[in-house]
Amino acid sequence: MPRPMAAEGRLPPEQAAPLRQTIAAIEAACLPGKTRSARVHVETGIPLMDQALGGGLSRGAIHEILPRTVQDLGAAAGFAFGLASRAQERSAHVLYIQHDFTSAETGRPYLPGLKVSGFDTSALIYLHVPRAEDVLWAMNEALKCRGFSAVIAEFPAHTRALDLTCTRRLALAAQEGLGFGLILRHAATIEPNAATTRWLISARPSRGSPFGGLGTPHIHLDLVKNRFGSSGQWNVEWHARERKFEIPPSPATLPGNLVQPPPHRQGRTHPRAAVA
Amino acid sequence: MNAEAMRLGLRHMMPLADARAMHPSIAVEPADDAADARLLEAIGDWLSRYTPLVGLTPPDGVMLDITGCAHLFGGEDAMRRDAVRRLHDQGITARTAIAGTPGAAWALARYGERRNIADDEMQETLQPLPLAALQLTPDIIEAMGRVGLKKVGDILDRPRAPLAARFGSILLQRLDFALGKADEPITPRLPVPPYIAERNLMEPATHETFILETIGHLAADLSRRMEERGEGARALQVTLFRVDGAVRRLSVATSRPQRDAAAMHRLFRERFSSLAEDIDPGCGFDVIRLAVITAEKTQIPQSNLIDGATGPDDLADLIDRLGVRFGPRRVQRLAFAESHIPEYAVIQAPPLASDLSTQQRTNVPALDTIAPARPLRLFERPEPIDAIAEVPDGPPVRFRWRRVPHEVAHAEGPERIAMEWWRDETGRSLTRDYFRVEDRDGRRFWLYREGLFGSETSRPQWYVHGLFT
Repeated sequence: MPRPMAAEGRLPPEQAAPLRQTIAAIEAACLPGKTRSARVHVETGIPLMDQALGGGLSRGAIHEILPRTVQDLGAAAGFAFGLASRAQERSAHVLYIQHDFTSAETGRPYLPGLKVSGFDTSALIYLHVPRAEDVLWAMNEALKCRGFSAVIAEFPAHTRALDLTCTRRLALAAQEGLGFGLILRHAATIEPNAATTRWLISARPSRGSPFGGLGTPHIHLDLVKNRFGSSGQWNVEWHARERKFEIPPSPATLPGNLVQPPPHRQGRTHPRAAVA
Repeated sequence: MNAEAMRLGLRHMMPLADARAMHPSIAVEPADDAADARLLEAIGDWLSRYTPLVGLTPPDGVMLDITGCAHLFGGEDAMRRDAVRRLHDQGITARTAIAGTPGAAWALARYGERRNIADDEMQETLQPLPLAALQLTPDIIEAMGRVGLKKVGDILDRPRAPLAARFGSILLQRLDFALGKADEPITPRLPVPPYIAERNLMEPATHETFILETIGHLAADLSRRMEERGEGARALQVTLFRVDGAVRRLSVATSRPQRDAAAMHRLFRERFSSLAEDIDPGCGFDVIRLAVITAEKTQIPQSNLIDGATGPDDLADLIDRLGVRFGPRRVQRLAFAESHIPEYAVIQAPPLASDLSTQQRTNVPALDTIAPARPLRLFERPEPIDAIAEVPDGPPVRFRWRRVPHEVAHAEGPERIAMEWWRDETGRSLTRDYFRVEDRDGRRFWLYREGLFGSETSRPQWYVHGLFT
C-alpha cells in the first residue's frame, strides 16, 4: 500500500471528496495551458454514484474497466462508451486504441451499434496498432494531447504492459493534458496499477420492453477501487437517447452502496425467463 | 570494359573472338542491361545532390540542369571536378562536360576535348565533332557519310531545306537543340519539389540525433519560405546522401497543410524511431536535404502567441505522428457505408476529413427509433456456436459460446439479411437470419443462423457475430 493512501484514512471520505474536488478545480483553472475545460469530472448522472466518486469520474486520470468474465465484455464496452459519451464535449474527439490481437479475438467497436447506443460516431477516431506496447505509447501521447475528450484503450486479459510503472506514466500523462483515460481490460484479475478507479462490470437481466423485446440495457457496476472516495455497487441502465445512466425504478433494485446478492441468484423471478 | 582492357588494345564493339585471340586470358561477363539501368538510376539519385533537376539519358548518360546551382559548389568547373572525383571514389569513371544546351553538353562529354564552353563558343566547338555527337541514329549517320557529310561543321552552313528533305527533320531538330536555337527539355527523374532546403556537412553525420537536429534546422528554413507564400506541406521527404554514394529517402505525410518547424521535426523523429532497420549511416551522410513534395495553400496562422496550443491543431499534430509511426492506414475515422451486410457497413476514412465531420456533426443526434439493432462490437469473423432452436426457423433456446452455456431469456428477430451475390468469392453467400438475444444473466448477443432451412441447407450453422451492451 503506498503511503499517501495511509494518510487518507485520517479524513472521513465525505469530507475529503469535496476538498479534493476544490483542489482539482483550482489546479485546472490556474495551471498554464489547462484552460480547455472547466469541467474536472465526468458525471455519471446518477447522484448517488457521483457522490461516491466525489463529483464524478475525474478527468486528468485513468480509470480501469474490467468485465467480470469475457462473456460480459459487451456490458463493459457499453459502460466505457457510455462514459465516453458523457465525457464528450462539442468538437472534441474520442480516440479508441486497439491492437491486432484484441480485435481478432473479441471484435472491434461497430459504428452502427455505437450510433444506436447514442454515441456521436463522427467524433470517433480509431487507432489500430500491432502490439500491446504500442497501445500504451499511443494512449500516453493521446492523454497528453488536449484534443480528445476521452481516450479508450483496450488490453488483453494477460498483459505485462499494464504494470504499476506503465500505468503511473499514463496517469501522469493524463494529469498533464487533463485527459480522460479509460482502460478496458479483458479480465477480472485485479493487478495493482495507478488507475484512479476500477470497475468490475457484469450484465444484468433487463426489464424488457413493454412492446416485447429486449428493452434498455441493464448492467451491474462494481466499483472496487476508488482513490477519492468509497467503493460501491450499482445496477444501472443506459438510456441511449438521453445519453445517461439511470438506476431503474424497479423495487428489486437496492439503493447504492449496498452489497447485493450475486447476479446468478437474482433475476430468477423474472417473468420472461419462463420463455425458455 | 575497364581501363586495364583498354590499355591492352581492346576496343568497344570488338568481336569477342578477336579479343580472345589477342588476349586469351581476359575475363568475359555477359552484359546485364537491367543492372546497368539500376546503376544509372543510382548514379542519377546520387547526383541529385548537385541539383534537384536530374534527367537520365539511357543507356549511359545523366543530364543535370545546374542553372543557379554551380555557385554553391564554387563555380561550374569546381562542381564538375568535385562530381568526377566523388564518382571516381565510388569506382565510376565519368566523362563530363558543361555547355549551354543539353545537346552540346551530351556531344562534348562523348566526343569533345573541352569540358566547359561558353555559349558563344558553341558553334566552333561543335564543328569538328562527328555527326554521332548530335545523337542521330546510325542509319542517318551512314546515309550522310555516303554523301561525304561526316562532321557537324559539314552541315552547319548548308541550306536547311534539302537536308531536311533528304535525311528527315530530326537532323535539323537535333542540330537546333545542340546549338540552342530550340529548347530541349530535360525530363527529370523525379518531380522537382516546390521547396528544398539542404545542408552540406563538412564532417559526415553518423548520429541520428545530429541528423534529426539538422532536419529541424532545415524545417525552420522551409517554414519561413512557406509562410511567405502562404503554403503548408502535405508531404515531406528527407534525402540523406551517404559518402559512398548510397541515397536514403524517408517520407512523411500530414493530414493538413503543415508549416510548423517543430511539428515537422517531431514527425521525422517518429519516422526514424519507427524504422524497421537501421538507416545504416556507414561512413556518414554528407548532404542532408529536406524537401516539400506537395504543398498546399493554407490559412493556418503560423505563430502561436499563447502558450498551450489550441485543440484541433494539437489533435492534427498527434494524428500525424500516429500515422507516421503506425502507418496512415492504421489511424482512421470510421464512416458509414451504403451496405446492408453488417461487415461492409463501415468503411475507413481519413481521420481529419473536416468537411465530412462538420456535416455529420450538424445532424446529430439522428437516433432513429426504428433503426435496426446493431451490436456495439462486431467480430472480425463470426464465431460458430452450437445452438438449439425449438423450431427450425425460430430463435435459439440455448447456445454455447466459448465453452460457456447460455440460456436465452429474450430474443428479438429474425432480421433476414441476404448476401450480395457479387461478393460470393468468400463462399459466404447463404442468407442469414439475425437474432438479438439476451441470456438469463442479461448478456446480449447478436446471433445468426446461416442458410434458409430447407431451400438452402438442411443443417444451418449458428454464429455469434457481435456483442451488445
